[in-house]
Amino acid sequence: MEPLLCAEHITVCYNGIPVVQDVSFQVEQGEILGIVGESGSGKSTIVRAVLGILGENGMVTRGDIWYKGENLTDMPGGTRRKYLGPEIGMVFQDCKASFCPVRTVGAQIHEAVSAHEKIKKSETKKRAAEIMKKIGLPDYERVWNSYPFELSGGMNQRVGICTAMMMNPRLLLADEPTSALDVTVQKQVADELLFMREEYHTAMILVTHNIGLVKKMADKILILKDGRVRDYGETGEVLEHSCDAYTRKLMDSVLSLKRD
Amino acid sequence: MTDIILRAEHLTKKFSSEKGGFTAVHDVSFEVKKGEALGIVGESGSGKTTVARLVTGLIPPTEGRILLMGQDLTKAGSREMRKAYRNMQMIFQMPGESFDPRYTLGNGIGESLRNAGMSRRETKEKVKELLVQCGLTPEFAGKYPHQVSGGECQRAAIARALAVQPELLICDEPTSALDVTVQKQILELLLKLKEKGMGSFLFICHDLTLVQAFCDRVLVMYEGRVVESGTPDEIISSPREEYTRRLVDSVL
Repeated sequence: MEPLLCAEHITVCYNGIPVVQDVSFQVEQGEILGIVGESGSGKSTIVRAVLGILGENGMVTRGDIWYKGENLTDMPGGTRRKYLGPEIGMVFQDCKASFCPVRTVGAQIHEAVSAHEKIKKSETKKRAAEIMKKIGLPDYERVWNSYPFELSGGMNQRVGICTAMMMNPRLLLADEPTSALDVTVQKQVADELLFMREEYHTAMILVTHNIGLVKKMADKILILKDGRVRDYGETGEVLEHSCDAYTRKLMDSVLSLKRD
Repeated sequence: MTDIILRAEHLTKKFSSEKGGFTAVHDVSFEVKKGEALGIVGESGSGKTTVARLVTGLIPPTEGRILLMGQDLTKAGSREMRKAYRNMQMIFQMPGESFDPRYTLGNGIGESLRNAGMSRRETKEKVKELLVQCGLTPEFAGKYPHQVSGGECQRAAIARALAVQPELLICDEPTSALDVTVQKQILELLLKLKEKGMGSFLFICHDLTLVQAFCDRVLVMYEGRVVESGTPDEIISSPREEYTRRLVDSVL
């Protein structure tokens, strides 16, 4: 089977300085890939490279990123935009910050969807309500009419997930989707993302520094350190039996709750 | 009585706004004994940071008393507070933001020593000693906050807090902004200080695993109230309250 997304030996530079070097990975339909590493290891840069939002100073200087056989790295902005949304969705760390503060959540969800398809607002609302009910926002009527600041961090994050899922993307990129949330809410959001995968068979790239979260969610895992791959493989295999010194150090640093 | 460093009695904090009042902390009482680490866990909005701000005198309580080594801080004037800060120091969540960006780390660490009347030369030596004690090299004294990493900056913040040899260290999410590997190093540093008897700790954190690794006792806060307290192991293995159970179950 052809993988959904395939990165081949990519190197990403900012101002000519490489921050990600020779990174390769594949994501298949319905699979969750966890990208783990400390701050500055290049995890977010990889996501940005896939989305093509590296900015003026950033550039993929070597290697290719293939999505369903199309080369994303060579694609002009306009063509790529068609993919972002219906094919590749995105959930950021702080969804509240990625919404416009002076417009209601509903208006913004509608704007995002209508950029890709001709749809009535009432239709968008119906579809949003459907998703919101599933991901722990039973009060969808109020959420739809709220401004981002009227919602809690967890609710904003769910609205972010809802917006990304509106167009039922094949691949969801989640950059630290639960880091800004409380542990109790974090677990709920993780469960909701897993539920989304069950329901829609969405593939995901989950960027996080939370090993516990990766253990719970990811099928495969990529460990980054200073822009280079230190480990890549099945989650259990990598976390339990890695020979790499850095991976082991990382695992040793993870505190786990002792329950007896 | 002498071995109780901090005693909070029936602390209540109400914030008033146009839409009416909001009680952030509701009738919270606790004690920190000498050499003990007391943890406070809870989610955002549970009032744990407000408790820290009350204890440190950054905001006045609506009701209740705070006794630091027998002295009532709620009645203390600014001069007395200044004295109290020699016995009580804080370590904040964002190390980079808690240092003045225009001064070197050495300046920041030495400020309280110089205020206490130490000579310039002595201060310099003491700062170096503190940096080494916190796992940094003496060269860090000459660096600015933006030149060092988050973990290094947090170590410097700990060095600064230790400078006046306080009885009580109040740590508000000291490792939340750090990577796991660095988090472990900072935790080990704090554990080392605790073992050496360098003071008592009020450790505010949302992460139960850290609290289990560091604290002797823990309070669980929810919506401004203390819902449960005990040793970390007790709370984790047999939580009595519904909320505590949810908190324990959520740890991945």
